[in-house]
Amino acid sequence: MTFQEMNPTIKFMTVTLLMFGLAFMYNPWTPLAVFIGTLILQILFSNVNWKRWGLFMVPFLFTALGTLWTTLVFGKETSGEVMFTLFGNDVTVENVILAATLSLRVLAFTALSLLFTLTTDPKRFVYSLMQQGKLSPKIAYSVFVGFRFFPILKHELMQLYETHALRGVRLETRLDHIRHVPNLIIPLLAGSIRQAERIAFSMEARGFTGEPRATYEVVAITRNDFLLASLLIVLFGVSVWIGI
Amino acid sequence: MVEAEQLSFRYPEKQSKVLTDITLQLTAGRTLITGASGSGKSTLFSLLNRLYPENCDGIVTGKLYLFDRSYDTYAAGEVNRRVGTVFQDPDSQFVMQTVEEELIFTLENFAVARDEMMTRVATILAELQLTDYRDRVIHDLSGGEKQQIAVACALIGKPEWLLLDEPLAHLDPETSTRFVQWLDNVAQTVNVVIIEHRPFLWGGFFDREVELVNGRINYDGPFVARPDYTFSPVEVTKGNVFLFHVPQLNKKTFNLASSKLTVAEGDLIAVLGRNGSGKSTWLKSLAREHQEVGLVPQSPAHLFITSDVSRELAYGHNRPIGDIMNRLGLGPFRNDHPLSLSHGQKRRLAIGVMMLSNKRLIAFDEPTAGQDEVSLRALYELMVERIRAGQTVLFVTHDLSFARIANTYYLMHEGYLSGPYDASLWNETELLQAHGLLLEES
Repeated sequence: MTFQEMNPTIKFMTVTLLMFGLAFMYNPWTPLAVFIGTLILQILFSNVNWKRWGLFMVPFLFTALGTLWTTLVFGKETSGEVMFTLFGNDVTVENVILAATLSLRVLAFTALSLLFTLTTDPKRFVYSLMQQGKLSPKIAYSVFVGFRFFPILKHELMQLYETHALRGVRLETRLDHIRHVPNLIIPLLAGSIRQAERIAFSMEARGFTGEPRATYEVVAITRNDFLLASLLIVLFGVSVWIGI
Repeated sequence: MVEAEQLSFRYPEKQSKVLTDITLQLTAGRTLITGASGSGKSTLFSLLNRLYPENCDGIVTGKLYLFDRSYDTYAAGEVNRRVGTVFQDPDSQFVMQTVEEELIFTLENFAVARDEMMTRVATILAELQLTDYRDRVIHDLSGGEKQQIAVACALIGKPEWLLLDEPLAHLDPETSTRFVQWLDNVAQTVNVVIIEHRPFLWGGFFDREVELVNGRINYDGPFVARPDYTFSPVEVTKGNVFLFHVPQLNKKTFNLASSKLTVAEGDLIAVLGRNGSGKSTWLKSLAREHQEVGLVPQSPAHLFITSDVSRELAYGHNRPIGDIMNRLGLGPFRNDHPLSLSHGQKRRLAIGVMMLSNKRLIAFDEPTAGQDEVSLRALYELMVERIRAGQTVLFVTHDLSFARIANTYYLMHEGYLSGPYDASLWNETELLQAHGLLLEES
């Protein structure tokens, strides 16, 4: 029983539900409990590359710290007991609680999102959305084709940069490259549209109509999926209770 | 399979017909449909697997029966269970990541029972001698391998007919020959219709031939084997000689050895070698290292930076553009977007850009891929005109018939450039074979 094996649609729905619920909690303890609880569940029921997890976490950690800082310094003037003075601003208890709530909420959101993204195979997620979420095969297979398009687009982009550099466009620094992007959009789009049309023809010629079809890869729903989902919901319940 | 009587077809936005008065019966066997670009052969092809008229709102008149039923009585995708299709471009006909997933995609479309799928996949791969590819990622395969997988994906649905649209257009001669031999072996029980403007590559594969000229049937009868188009060497007058040095280049998967290229003004140079031998990489290095080299990429559209023809020609310098624009026949399109031009016009615009930026050497990367004879003749004229004006022209190609126009040759083999050779190269059987340039027919 791991989060990797969990049915992606159920996982997605549970995680979304928790995030939605978190948005209504105005105390610092609930998000903190959710954050810690998510980490514990992730350690117990998944096999996550913690280095990747850490890297993904970095920008959000900064966001959280930023939120904390700005709320403390530029927070609304509130009455109440002054805890300490920061750059001439009186910081009240209320200010501190609000700042902690907001920044911990950022962390809890991130932990939940990473729980989903780092344990979900995108292909399996799309299959599952098709089978449990009744997603139309037309949309699902557009996503699959999209996956294939990434390397092709990247290759095309590199080629455009190369040939444009040969024509004397200044492309030495990263900034030059970014500044040149608007000139690349039209050729890149023109190429992609042609490719997309060809792939569409090829799919239809192979009998793809977007109508219901057979499936080889069955993403089942098992008892374990409900168990893991309940664990997450219990975690949320406990966290709310801690908050009160 | 197909019965057409007085069949005509036109696109909704155009008045002229693409196909006119086609009366044709396709019967079992191996049929070649040939004709120049714009002769309507690709349109006819798309009518055969019912991609048209539905997907282009084209207007069909006359009778068109597929498997004894009129084309308009079929539901979408229905006829595709009986007709398998392989397209020209190896890079834009796959949906999934791996070969196995791709094969399963066809089976899922045809609603094959789930427990039958794996046996079907194993069987077709064994039949086509492709078992080793089962778990390979399609993106990493070579062009020839991708085309074989495309055939497998078509045949796994057990079609009665197999349609192929210029499947060799992007393959080198050796790979093409091997693909044809392989298809000859594996397509014993299925009927085949192939669109090809260069039937020579297929040897004696066909038993029937239909030739289209301007949307009408010009010939319909037994296949007549004929030699490829021929190009004769251009006579060159050489001027001053320059030496270009291309340094060593090491990439993750590929090493390019350092090389020297001796270039005379007014010379015409061909660089030959297998797909993936490093020709394009070498050419890019050459252009990067030397300001005097102007590179025309395989799709000339990559070169264009601005949004109209005259600005494109004027980019990066202050010289007058009027004369060259008119000489290249681009005057009427001066305000058009470069990407809206035809392939031939794009190529001419690319050459105009090179002429105006005073490049000494114009280097074409695969200008012949997917081009028919008329387009090649136009390319030939352009090249001759350039060398007469004292510029040097260099091109990389797979087209051995077209390569004959060159005066000097270089060969590329696994990152090593050798040369120069003169036209006596064509008598050196072993050398040609080592570079994958020998066709068994010749």
